[in-house]
Amino acid sequence: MLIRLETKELVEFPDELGALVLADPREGDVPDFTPDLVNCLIHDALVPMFNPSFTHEQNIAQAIAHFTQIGPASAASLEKARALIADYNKNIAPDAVGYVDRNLMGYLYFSHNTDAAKPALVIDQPNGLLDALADLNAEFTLDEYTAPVPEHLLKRKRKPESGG
Amino acid sequence: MAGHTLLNQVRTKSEVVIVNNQPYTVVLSYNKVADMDGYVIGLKFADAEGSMDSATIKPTYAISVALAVAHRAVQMLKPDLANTIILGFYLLTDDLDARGPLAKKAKIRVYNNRAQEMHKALQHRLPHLARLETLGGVAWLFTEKIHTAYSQFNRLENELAKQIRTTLC
Repeated sequence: MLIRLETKELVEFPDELGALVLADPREGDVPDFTPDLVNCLIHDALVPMFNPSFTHEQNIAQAIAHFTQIGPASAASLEKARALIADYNKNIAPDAVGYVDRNLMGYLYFSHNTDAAKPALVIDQPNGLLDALADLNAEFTLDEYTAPVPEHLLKRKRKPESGG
Repeated sequence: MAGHTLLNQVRTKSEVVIVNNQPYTVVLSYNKVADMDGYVIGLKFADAEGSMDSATIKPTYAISVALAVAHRAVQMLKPDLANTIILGFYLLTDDLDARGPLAKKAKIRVYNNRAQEMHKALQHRLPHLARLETLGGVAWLFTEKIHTAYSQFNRLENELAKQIRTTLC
């Protein structure tokens, strides 16, 4: 399994390490990630772990220890993950290792706006919320509600989006 | 956390990070919540969409961008860290489902890796990292006290009226 480090150097990492990344037991079942997504995910997990002060072997051992410490992945997950790494090895040319097309990168790494008509928070019990807000004395907006809201509590609507 | 009704945004801080001649933006929104000392900060990473036709841009060594942007976010947070009680970011996943379950699952993993990296730099001040998953979204919260210790959070959870699966990271 080829990994491109931040120096742009291509290094051979054990396939099994890639399988451990994909089969991470904290993430549930292993989806049918495409080779492009595998390319992204293994770099995303492994490159930050790479310490240039250590040798490649030390870094690889450290990464394996990290995933082993998390806990065992299921046999089924590992088997599936190994197959995905094999597909990655077969389908991603060395020149493309570590590189993500702009569209996919923007999508995976960055916030983006959802449909403006969709509320970020749907209030099922507006009266309950109004009571809570009166307690908090907080600025107040609702994108969707079922009961009339007193005029003085309505402020500007905010466009819902991912982010923080 | 933009758009959330319990938050009163008092200021924002926004910086552009240039990686390989491409601009990316980190935005912090500083919020106050009544009866809470300190800031509740929302974090957003943005691509400079529309600045160039994405079809003409070569593929990018993405992890460099991700690390640079997350590193910049940590640097931006540090001056106010002493007064910060909660930091968070989230994904809404309904639209990701429309794009396909693979995209959603990949994005959650990527955001989770960023959260873990940032936590290492911030945990001396915000020791708790929780990942909260519900129908339609995933959020990561870095907090001074365990998030359930805040009555405002518990109120939010009740009003959300959806099941939240919490993982402490």
